[in-house]
Amino acid sequence: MKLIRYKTSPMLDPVSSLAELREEMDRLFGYTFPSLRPAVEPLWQSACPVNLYRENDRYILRAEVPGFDKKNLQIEVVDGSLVLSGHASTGNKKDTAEESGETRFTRNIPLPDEVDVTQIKAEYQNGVLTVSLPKKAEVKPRQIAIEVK
Amino acid sequence: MSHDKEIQVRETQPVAEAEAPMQAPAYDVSETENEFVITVQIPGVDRKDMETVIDGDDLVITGKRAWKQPESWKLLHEEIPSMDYRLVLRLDHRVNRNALKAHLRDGILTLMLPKAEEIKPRRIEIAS
Repeated sequence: MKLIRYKTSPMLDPVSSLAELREEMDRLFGYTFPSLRPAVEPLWQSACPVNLYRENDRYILRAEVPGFDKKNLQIEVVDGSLVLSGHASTGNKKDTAEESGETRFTRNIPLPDEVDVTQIKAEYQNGVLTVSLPKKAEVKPRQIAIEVK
Repeated sequence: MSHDKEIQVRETQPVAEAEAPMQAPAYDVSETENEFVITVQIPGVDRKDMETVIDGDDLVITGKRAWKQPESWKLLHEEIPSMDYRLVLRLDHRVNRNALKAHLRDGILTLMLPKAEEIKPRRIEIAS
């Protein structure tokens, strides 16, 4: 459980403090990212700590996953969740079998409905994976023509 | 890519003690016939923001997380500490300090510490 940072008197700026209150409530009740739990670290996997940010028209996820080649990192959307995974063999070819090893991780991040999964973009630099999750454009009313026979 | 180039480890004066809290990065040590290999996980650190120095018997590795959260981004969930990295390892007589080499790739710093000549396996020829 994370402590919420202390705020100075909300009376000074009621408008922005209302917006901030909403943010705090969102955070408390996990409204935006419903069941995002802290990174757990099973024995056979390495951790994948993430930070989540919100900008006007998108969410941004940053994940620290050092030591992977771009081609060994995978980002998928499965059943409304963003699944980050990666595998890398740490062993050197000339090492003995006992010394060679494998690193892998999987992280599942539930996405809010408003994310446009077709527009997700990602980049990897210095061991940090940055994923941009744009929100859907305003839902337009759709007209469906009914053929009368 | 330029970040794959080798970084020369240099010997300098003792570094000033940092005041800000630092994170000790995860690291591994392995050994081959001729060298010790240390891998240190410092994701988020650019090559220019890291330093490896030998201070007396200490090998001091520091890395700055130069990335800053843009003004317009609002933090929703946080698991990544924003602290800089610092790792101090003690070197002993088994390491040849004049020939340390390091390179940084994908957030992993690899240090190659050649073994001192005295401890390398030595084959003794038998004179008949």
